[in-house]
Amino acid sequence: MNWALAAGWEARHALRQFVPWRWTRWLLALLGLALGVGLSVFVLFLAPPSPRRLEVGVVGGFVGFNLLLATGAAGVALSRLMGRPQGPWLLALSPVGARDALRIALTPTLLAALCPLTCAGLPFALLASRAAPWVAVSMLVAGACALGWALCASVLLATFLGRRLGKERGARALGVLSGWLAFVAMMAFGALVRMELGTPALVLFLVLTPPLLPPLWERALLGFMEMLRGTETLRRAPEPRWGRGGWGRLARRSPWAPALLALVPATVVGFGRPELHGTLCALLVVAGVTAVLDRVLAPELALPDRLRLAPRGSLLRARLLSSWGVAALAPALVVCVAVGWGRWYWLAAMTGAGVLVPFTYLILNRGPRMAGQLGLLVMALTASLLWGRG
Amino acid sequence: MPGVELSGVSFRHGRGPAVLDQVSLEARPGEVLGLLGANGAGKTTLFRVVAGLLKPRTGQVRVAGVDVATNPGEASRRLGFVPDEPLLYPRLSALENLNQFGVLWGVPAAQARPRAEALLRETGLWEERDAWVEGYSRGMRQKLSLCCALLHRPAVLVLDEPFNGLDLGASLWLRALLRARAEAGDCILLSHHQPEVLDALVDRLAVLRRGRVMDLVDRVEVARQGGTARLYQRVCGDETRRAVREGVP
Repeated sequence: MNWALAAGWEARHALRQFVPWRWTRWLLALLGLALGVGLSVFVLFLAPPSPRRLEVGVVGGFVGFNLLLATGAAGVALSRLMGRPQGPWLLALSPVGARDALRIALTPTLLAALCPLTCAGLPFALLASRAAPWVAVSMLVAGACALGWALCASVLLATFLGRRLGKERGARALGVLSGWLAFVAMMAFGALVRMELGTPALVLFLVLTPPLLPPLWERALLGFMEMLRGTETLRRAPEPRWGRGGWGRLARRSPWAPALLALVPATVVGFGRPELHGTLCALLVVAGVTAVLDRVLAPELALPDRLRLAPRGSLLRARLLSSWGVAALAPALVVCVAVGWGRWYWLAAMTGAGVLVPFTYLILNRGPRMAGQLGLLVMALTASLLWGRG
Repeated sequence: MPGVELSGVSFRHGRGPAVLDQVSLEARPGEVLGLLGANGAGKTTLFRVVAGLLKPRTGQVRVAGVDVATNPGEASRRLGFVPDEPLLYPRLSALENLNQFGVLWGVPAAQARPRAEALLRETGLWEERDAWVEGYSRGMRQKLSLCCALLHRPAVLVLDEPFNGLDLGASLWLRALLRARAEAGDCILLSHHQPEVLDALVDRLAVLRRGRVMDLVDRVEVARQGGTARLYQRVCGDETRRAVREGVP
């Protein structure tokens, strides 16, 4: 069997599931590369590497950054593997053996964890290779070690969450935690590269990785495999309230609350900077309302035939959109009023954009619906640029 | 007044070939009309047109005397549809699903609850009534899908391969139920691939081939021709032989 081919197909399948459109995949790759180059230039500007000595602070910062970001990226990939119902079947049925099947299934996780190193570490190493070859080489080696630890940490975390919460809920929790971790890594980047770790810490890290990581990785893999193979009891629900729709229950059982909670740190940090108020309000009004409605309507968007068939389908869809739309828009508008009282054009534009969001859900086709939502976001952002500054 | 009436119905996806080509068919109240055809013959498309999920290019569809194009709400109130893939909510229990379908079809709560309980007992799902549907087997989902279609007591039942995944007990229950509903005056339109089930159940049989109704015969004529399997061989035999020869499913 050609392992590289199997792993390649697995990675391609995961990527297509995560980002369905080819142009978006290319755009993401370009953005990642641009980010890497930008970060590298930033680091070279902040702490120019000296040709005579090893810049431990820079290398240590990159190790920490890689560790956090790679754990986050690997966690996102692992959460998708855990949430995939056929995962345990793959392990049980695969003729290559459970452990090898799991290794193939983990390829996308490895590639996801490799992204930060490739995006940030490689351009930096190339940029710094002439001025400070030692920094470049040690950074790549330390980055690879950090990658191994990140993979191991994310597999251990996934196993723990899967055992405690069940595979599906564990996958959701892991996705949210990983998102936070990646966000923390991005926010703490500046502080990390300025951190003076000292040479002993870095040397200790490099020396301890080869004896400690492989056995820990084996144990982590075994635990993860057992968790994936484990069966779970059927989940049960209380008696329904007859005559009342169950969309509220569905929303509570979907991962919307943790997903929205994941946005809170970014929002809080953003509102601390007045120049970002307009942009954040635009995001809150359009993307915030879209996030809530997406979650509430997820079962109906997944199977649109149900509401099309039902005699009261259109009426109930309209009720859902209006009640949940108002509930999501009201707090966003309160924030807009608090931030931009007196800027009437801007407030009118924000209100208009927010009110129009629920109407995009009348478009059943996903592509045009998302294009409409993107159009509203652009409109809100433009309005913030024109009239959103105090 | 016919249960389901299609007159001159044609349908195609975009600019592709015709999936249904001038189909005219009538299913009367009190009868079970079976639809037979190879994979891709247009059975599911025909059912989706009857349910109002697809708009035909030409022709008219009436369900219990109601035009599906001009009055889709009333038509779907009179129709119980079991599609090939169940339209259930995986994160709701069986009882919650039935309540949700009751809300969607406008069944009053006072009627929905006893009906739902009776249907779940009949299908043997009562013990698992409060378990999330995502943990159900294929057969259990199919049973629940049937319960959801029957909850609003429709006059017309359109069932796309309803026996798929059912265990023997549930299959026998469904056969008895369909016969009883037909005798009570309901119209039933169903497709299935097992000839013995169709032999035992249907009053008339329509054979669909490449979007056209090739033959429409009653139970007596089916028996005279040697059963459903023989009839299918006679009408679509060359297609079956070609499929076997070329490995086409």
